[in-house]
Amino acid sequence: MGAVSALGPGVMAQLEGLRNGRSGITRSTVLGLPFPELHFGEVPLTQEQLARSSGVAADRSRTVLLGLLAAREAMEHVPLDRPERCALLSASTVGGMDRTAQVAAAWSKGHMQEAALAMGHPVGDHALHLARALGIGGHVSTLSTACSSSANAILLGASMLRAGMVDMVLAGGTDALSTFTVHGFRSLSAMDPEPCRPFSEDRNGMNLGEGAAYLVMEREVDARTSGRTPLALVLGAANANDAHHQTATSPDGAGPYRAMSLALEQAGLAKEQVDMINAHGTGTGNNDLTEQLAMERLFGIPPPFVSTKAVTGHTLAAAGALEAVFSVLSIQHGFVPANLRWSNPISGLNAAPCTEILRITIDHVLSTSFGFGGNDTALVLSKA
Amino acid sequence: MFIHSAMSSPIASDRLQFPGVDLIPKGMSRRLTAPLRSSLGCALAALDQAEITVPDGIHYGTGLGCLTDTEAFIREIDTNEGGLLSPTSFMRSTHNTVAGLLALALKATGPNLTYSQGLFSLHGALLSARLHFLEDQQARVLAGASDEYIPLLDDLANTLLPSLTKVVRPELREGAGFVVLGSVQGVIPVRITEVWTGSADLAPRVMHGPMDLVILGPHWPKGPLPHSPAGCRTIHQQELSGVHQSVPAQSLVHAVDLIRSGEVSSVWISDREQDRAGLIHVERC
Repeated sequence: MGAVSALGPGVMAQLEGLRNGRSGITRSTVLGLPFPELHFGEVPLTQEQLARSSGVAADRSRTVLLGLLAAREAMEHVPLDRPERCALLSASTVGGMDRTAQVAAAWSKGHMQEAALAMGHPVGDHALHLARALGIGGHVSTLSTACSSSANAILLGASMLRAGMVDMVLAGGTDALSTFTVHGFRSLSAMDPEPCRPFSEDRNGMNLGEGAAYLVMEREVDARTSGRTPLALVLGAANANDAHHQTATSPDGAGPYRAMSLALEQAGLAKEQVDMINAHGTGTGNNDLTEQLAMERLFGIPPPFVSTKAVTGHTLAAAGALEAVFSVLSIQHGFVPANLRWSNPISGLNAAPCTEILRITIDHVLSTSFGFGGNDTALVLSKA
Repeated sequence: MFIHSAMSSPIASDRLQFPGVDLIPKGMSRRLTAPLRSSLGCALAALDQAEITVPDGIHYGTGLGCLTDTEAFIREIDTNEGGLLSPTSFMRSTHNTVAGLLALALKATGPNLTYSQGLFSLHGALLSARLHFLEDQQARVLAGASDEYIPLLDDLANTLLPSLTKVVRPELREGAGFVVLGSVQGVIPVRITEVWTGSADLAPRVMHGPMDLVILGPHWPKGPLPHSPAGCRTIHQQELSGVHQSVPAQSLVHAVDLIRSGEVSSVWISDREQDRAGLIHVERC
């Protein structure tokens, strides 16, 4: 696994932050984002620092730099014996938008001096950089299903391995903060100016974040035959569509319920066997209400659940993979991270998230990711 | 995978004549940009042709996403001075807008996946469909790709590729192509037997078996595909579709039409972009 988020670069920084209840949410100090009153989950590394760590030029999109950092960490100790049998399934929502916005703004004034920056605009561009840098010669594809993108990359990776299409998959996602997304989510009145409070009655929206996370996947039998012990297993994965609204979840959370139910069914697990839910939990009124409704409908009393977006902000396409990394860390180290800043239960609902770090044995985690377009994905990650 | 229907949308200048215009829910249609209506209409027409009300899955590809709405929102940001912007363009700027709107229009609650990998976005969608059938053999799914044109693309091409545009002058366009797929044969006797992407140097090894026709995408030089067998015809799809990142989707629909007409039986669709290649094999069954 490899990861970078507002908690810093590397999986160990994620573990340290989660174990200590540390939040990476701050005002923008690195990128100088618009609206100084807002809080973000900004990766605490400048473009130049990221470029040095990633080994590429600093004029690349931050999405590429973050992706390379996390992907390199994930592949660090993995032998790539047959590059053509390894697929890269990445994810991004805005790709090189941090650079493109400069081109478009200049173009509207009749200038094309920055045109070369637009070459990095396509969402899939970062994946080509990663594949080349890591020597991956098989299928390269970028999922772009908004905030569920990298959860879907993991889902697809599991399917491709099951089908025997490939022997190894690097799955994950990367998204950098950009003025485009800041203005976008602000236009939806979806951003809490203060650090966010997922699943709390007084929640007031999300904090945007940035980051990247990648996981190396292979069939369990292949890993064990090669003497590698898996960090965790993907026992189930399901994608469903809410088919209700372009940006809001249906009032009863039908899509999230369907995705969670199908993932558990594929995993062959009874709901009582789920030890923890790493929830989508953006902190918006609509998401948290409908998600918790779906959890309570499925589980009655849900197992301990947490939104780690209070720690990292919402990292959009990277969120599903980043939270899969968090879920694996929970399994490995036996803890449920704390859902920071929660104060009161959502009106009309019963359950409360896990507000203190809880040390328990965790065999199975349900990790959920929901996105624009009614896109709902659930993963079941389990102890190997 | 068997093709149950295939539909391609016209290019930019024919926007008013795109197929499926009457199939888009009226309330949704009037709020969409023209290229979005074109994509949705094309997809709905493919479903209509296959007599499917609700597909079991939607597997979609786009190279550059909803450029019209993306550009509109960037312009709003640029001209705004700190006020709250209208969210409409932002909401529709995501790459999965087409697939999400299709789910919404059809109340399709099955898997809904969007792939964006340049010219190989369709290939991702088709591989996704193939995996869908491994999980559910009875499924019938919609797969396809679409891309939009905005004038900024021409200005970028002229600035970044001045020598190329002087000589070749590729016509940047937009377009869509959608197919309905099943794991058993339908009315149309056509199937997809291979979908592959990888390093370009490996592509010749994948292309084997009968080859009546090769449809080449953008970036291939004029002339036949090197090492193609004697008697194998070549079509450069960009001469018909113009250049955009969903050309392979229009090549696929073109291949289906030619096979149905009896002109050819085995077609390879070959695309390349930098050091990567993509292949789709379509044949009569």
